[in-house]
Amino acid sequence: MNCKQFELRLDDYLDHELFPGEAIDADAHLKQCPACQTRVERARTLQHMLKEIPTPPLRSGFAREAIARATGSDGKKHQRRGFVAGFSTAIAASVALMAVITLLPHSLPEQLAPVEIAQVAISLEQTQTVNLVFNTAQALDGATLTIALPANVEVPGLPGQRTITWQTNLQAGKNILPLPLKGLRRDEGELLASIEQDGKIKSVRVHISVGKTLQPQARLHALHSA
Amino acid sequence: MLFSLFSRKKRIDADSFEALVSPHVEQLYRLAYRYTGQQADAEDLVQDLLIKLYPRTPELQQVGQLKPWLAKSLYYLYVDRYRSQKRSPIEFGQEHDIEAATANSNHQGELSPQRQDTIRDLQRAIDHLSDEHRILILMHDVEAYTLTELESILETPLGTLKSRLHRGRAKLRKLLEEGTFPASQA
Repeated sequence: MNCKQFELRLDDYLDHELFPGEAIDADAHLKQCPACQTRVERARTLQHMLKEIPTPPLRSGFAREAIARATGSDGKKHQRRGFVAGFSTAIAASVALMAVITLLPHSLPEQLAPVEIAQVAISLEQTQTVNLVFNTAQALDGATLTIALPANVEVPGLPGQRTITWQTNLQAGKNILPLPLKGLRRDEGELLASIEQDGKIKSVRVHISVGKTLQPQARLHALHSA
Repeated sequence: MLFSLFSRKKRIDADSFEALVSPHVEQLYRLAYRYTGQQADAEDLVQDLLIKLYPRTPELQQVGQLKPWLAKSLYYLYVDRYRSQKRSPIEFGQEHDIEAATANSNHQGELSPQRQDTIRDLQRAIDHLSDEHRILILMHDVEAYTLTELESILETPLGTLKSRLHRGRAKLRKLLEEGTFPASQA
């Protein structure tokens, strides 16, 4: 067995799934090949590390609450929380760029002047995620979300598209839209995010600098617009 | 009287359901977290699965091996959600909430800061694998489901799973060696 042949069988070797004859050949090759010994060592380290990838522990009481909700024992009507297409109720702990939009649908005016609520800085030719947080007092079904992009950024996968519109449902509480943006050119621009429902619309502006460094307080500047 | 009988039956069903699924909730949550990368999304996925399964309690009672059966149900629920997300005009990222997981996990304190950094890089590399490679590595190499179990869970022949696993691992090794996966975007 040579190095190329051994490399092709590396996973079977690690999983002890080689035929007996192959295993003998593999062991014989390994004994005289430091390069393949290193390969095996690295692959074993990787396998070990995979088992160390953490998960947050199950929240205390979650199992009991979830079963009670499923069986109706909690006396509440079933309602799916979060995970609406495109949105998550989760708040990522690693959020660095964030804009918060607070919506009060029962008091939503017909048209609200856009308010500049946040500034974000994006590196040139890099993709960064801007988390738009839509904070609603109550669930909004069938809302139309429109994102109008400035010329200095684009959404990866949608080259050249300046306006993106789709319908979605917002849960009561915080809904996060992780919006990936790629810096196209060193420039300033304004992203306009609008939520429309039943003819009522609310818009917010996010100032976007590409290729410039903002002060930390500016990067995290987020104001509730309501 | 009728109401009383109905309530009693409902209570028995609820107790049976709880007895069946409660030993598996933690494992389902772990899997859901592996898929979604976010604690709240993982809880939502498990919650939705339980809501869907409760009316099927009699069917659950007939299942011999509930662990892989539940894992399969969770996987297909996740796939449905993932596909519906794909229909949205923006492909939403799946960057794992690594900071939160590391900070809250049972491993904290056991792992050196350097090891935690390495594991963060590893998770990011996994996040950049194709979905079929990512799911297989997470279920087999991370959560220790056997290939025989996965043959049933993923409804994929053993040979295909093996070659897919080998390609996924090779891709993962390459990503880690080259460092070609982007750093955290958040």
